[in-house]
Amino acid sequence: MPEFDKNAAYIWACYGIGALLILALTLQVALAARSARKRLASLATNDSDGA
Amino acid sequence: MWSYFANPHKFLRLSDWLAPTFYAVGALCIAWGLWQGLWVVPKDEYQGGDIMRVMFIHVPAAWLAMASYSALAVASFIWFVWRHELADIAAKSIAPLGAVWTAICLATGAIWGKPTWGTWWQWNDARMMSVLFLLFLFLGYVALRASMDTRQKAARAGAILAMVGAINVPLIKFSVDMVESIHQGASVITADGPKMAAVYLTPLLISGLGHSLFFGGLVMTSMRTEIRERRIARLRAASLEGA
Repeated sequence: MPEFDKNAAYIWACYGIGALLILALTLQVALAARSARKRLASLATNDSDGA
Repeated sequence: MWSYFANPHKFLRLSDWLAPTFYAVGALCIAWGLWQGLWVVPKDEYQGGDIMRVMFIHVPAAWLAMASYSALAVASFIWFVWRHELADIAAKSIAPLGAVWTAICLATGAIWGKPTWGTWWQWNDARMMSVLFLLFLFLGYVALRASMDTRQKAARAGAILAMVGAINVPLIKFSVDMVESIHQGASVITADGPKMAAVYLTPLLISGLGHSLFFGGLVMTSMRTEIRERRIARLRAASLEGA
């Protein structure tokens, strides 16, 4: 790990917050995409079954 | 050209390979920028020593906050004039993502400010307040759309807010030049070219590119989700009509 001067806590806090927010956002976007894909596939299957 | 890109089927085909590419190249650029910023570049005593390393997350977040709002305003304008649904889908997808990068910019800026200026926040600083206002614009856009009872009303109200709010973007950029601010002046995008040494500028630009590409990937994924959500709504409405 790199060694910083007296401001190490501030530096790590910035990168920690940035990483946490971006990862959480990516996860949320991926889960929403998966959910929509599954629901659409299920509806399309029901639609073709009913036809 | 507009009609080509306004076609959801063509967009889905294009984004199917473009989004993963953006994620991969974006993540690589961000990782390289992080490695450079935290391990490789020398600390700058003029800028407070090691604390200047925060620049490699704060500055790309600030660029992206402004760029994403500009993209939101452009997409809103395209929807408003030509009524291309894909432009509305893009605007709806950009807003929450832009809010997150704006929040990163504000949080990292406040943390950087404490050891540098001796304060987390200054309420009369034009740069800080205009970026905070940008965050409220993003959140207001999301809330306004959610409060409307039809998609058309949501698109129209959101587009008007996004276009009017675009005036804030140049205010952010020039706030440090127009009024006195504790925030440092522009050092990359200036009329005389970058004032920063190449050893800092190169990783900063690569980081900025990485954040932009990753953001682009997230926008495309969100747009694909929204297209599917609208198809689901149509299928459900059709099945209700048929019942």
